[in-house]
Amino acid sequence: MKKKVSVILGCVLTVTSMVMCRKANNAAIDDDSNFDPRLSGGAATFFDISSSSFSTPIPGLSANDERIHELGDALFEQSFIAAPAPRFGGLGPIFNNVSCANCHHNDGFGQPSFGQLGSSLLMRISVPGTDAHGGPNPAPGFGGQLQNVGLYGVHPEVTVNLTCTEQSYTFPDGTITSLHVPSYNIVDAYMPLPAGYMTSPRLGPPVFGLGLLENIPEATILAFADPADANGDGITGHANYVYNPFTKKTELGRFGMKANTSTLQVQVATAFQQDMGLTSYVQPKKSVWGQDQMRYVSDSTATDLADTMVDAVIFYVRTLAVPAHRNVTDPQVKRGELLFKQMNCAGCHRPTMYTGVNVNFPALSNQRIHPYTDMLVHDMGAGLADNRPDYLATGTEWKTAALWGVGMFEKTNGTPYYLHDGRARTIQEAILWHGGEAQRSKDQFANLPKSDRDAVVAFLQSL
Amino acid sequence: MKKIFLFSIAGCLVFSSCHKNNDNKTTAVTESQVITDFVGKVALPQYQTLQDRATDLNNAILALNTTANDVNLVAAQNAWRSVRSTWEGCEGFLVGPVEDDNYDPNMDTWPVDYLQLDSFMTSSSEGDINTATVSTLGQSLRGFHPLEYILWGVNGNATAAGLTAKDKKYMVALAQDVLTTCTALNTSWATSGGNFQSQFLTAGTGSTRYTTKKDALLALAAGMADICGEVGGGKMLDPYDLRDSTKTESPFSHNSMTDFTNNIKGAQNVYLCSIGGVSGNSLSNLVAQKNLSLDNKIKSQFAAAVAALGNVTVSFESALYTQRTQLQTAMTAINDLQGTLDGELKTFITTYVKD
Repeated sequence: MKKKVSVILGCVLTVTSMVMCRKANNAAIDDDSNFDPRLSGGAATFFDISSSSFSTPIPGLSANDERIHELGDALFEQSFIAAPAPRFGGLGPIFNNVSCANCHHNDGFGQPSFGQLGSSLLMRISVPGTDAHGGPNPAPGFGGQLQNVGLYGVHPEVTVNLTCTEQSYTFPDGTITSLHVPSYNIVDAYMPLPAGYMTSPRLGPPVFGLGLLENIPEATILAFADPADANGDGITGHANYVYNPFTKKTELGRFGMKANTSTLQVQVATAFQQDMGLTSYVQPKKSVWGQDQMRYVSDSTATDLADTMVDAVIFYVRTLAVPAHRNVTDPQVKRGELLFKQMNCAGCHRPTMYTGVNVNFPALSNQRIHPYTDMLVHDMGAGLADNRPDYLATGTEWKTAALWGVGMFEKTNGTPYYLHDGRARTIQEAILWHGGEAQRSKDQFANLPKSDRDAVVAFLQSL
Repeated sequence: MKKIFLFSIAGCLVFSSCHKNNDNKTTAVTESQVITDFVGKVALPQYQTLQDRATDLNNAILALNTTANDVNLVAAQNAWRSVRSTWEGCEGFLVGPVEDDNYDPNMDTWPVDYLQLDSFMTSSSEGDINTATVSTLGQSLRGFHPLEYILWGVNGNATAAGLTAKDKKYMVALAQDVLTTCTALNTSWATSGGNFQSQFLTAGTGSTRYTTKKDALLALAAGMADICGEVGGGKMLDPYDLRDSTKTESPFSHNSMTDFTNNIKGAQNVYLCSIGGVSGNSLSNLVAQKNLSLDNKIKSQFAAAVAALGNVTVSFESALYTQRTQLQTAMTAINDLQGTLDGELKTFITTYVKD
């Protein structure tokens, strides 16, 4: 079993000059002429084009912090098992997978399938209405997420069958391509599913660079929002505000496909709880709390994960560096980047912003970063809609996916998959699924000559 | 292509700076030859050997199942050691399907999860234990190490007479599962199967995985560095820090030291493009053309790491308590090697490989 041992060696360029004045004007902030355009994550950038390019710690960690990062890394790869066990017990009794790394292969994503060891898909569920905090209304007997695997002898909540069909797409220039259309069939439920239930599939996303995203000032994100479309570009993104079960406050959503989680602490602890059935100080109740499967839990008051374990994994994902932008002088890549901006892809996939000050992590603090996201939710059209609202995100809205590292997927994962459910097999396919607020940009892309479409893809592959 | 302009400039720089060196060579090794020979002389033959030895293991287990005597038990143990030796060598290049499709953790996860193993063995009936159920088990209940647990027993004193009916069912299923995984791995590189070899062979000329030859060579460098890091910073370090011989890779057979040595030799084989008396154009040749001192350094660090492992005269499980100095020396040697592969070798490739 592979165990990643992290050694930082050279290659980290230090940004010595940060003297450029920061204007609100996007064109000015995106001007890279005084900066090294390869530094996608600022000082938290790592130069590596191997399968472990998502798996390197940010530079500047103390020896102690590096050790915590490594412990978090080991726990991220650890398979958990049924209680009682001397170590790593508490799995389930129903779950989606047995380790973080099984879904986040090489700190990227996993396979778009259900129930296998390498499966990375899960299905959220809710019924109409909202819970006490404005979030999705849990489905009685199923909660907010379907656990489709059980311990030996335990019937999981459901089995999800995924089938894909091909849908032909013809470009205006006559080129024909094909889109992969998934459909989900939920069978073998342990009790009848409630009337009017709504589901939403999610593919486990890459986990690098999250410390930087967490550190973007709220004001920066809110400045990207344009709910009334004042600039008339057809893009009206808005922030999601979500309940934090740990602080018991409503906060700006940053993580999750619909920005339905505010902090990495809640993101990690909820994944442990919902995906693996492991309780912690942040999420102290079993995912099967109040359900029939509780009878398989020998000690309902036990906390499965020690606080230090959860904190180490949170620390781990917070301190994973971003792979560098590559081939920045390649003419095709430069052409693609220009088109990306001209078609206003950058209207949502914001190229450049600064993180806030964070005295604990110099490499995350006040960094000029290129995540290619605005952290807002946008209407993406009917083709991608899950029709399941999540706090303020409607059934057609999704958070803008960060595009840094998107060109490394084939190296980290073998077969690349894109979009919230991994339906797209190529970057071009992912672009063609864009609708809603992105319709205008998508149409412009489709109308480009093939050489320019290839240039846009080459640019994205360089990220 | 527009790229040609840039490449020609880079090419001029490289040529002018290395002109003297090249004068002394009759033929220069090219990146293409290195990649081609890695595929043809290291990767493909080793994966084929892996499948062959997994077949031998499966046959030995079937024989033991049919006739449970100690001769067959020893034969099965030897077959296990034999396939392990090839597999640990293959870990010198953990790139492509072996990593993408989880072949590695599916057959080589450790330590064995005794508790779940016991719960599986007690709660399932004899008829439930077959290849199909084993392939759905957690990774810590699949592969080489549960099989090792059955063949050697927890204290290394298993006897053929002691094998229960369930043990036999489980070992037959495990051996078949290992064979299935090894066959799938071999097939994934074969032209008749997944043809992953073409990703390497067409590096820089159409490969989607390795869009440049630099990418392909960096993947090999990363593979070598990673296995050194895994041995020096994980496989050896974790049980060493814990002073716990139950946390080693192969604790029942006491094969861990051999595992480690074969890992490092596996990476060495990749660097030298040499295995089993067959050799080809190697990364070593490529490095030597432009930086002889770096090539010598890497070669001597490989030799030093292997020698340091050889200085441990007892099993790793014993050495954890009795030869800690030798273990520390070996880990240091391996970590030094890893540092060079991760640093100077990658920098070399990034600097000199231009297409």
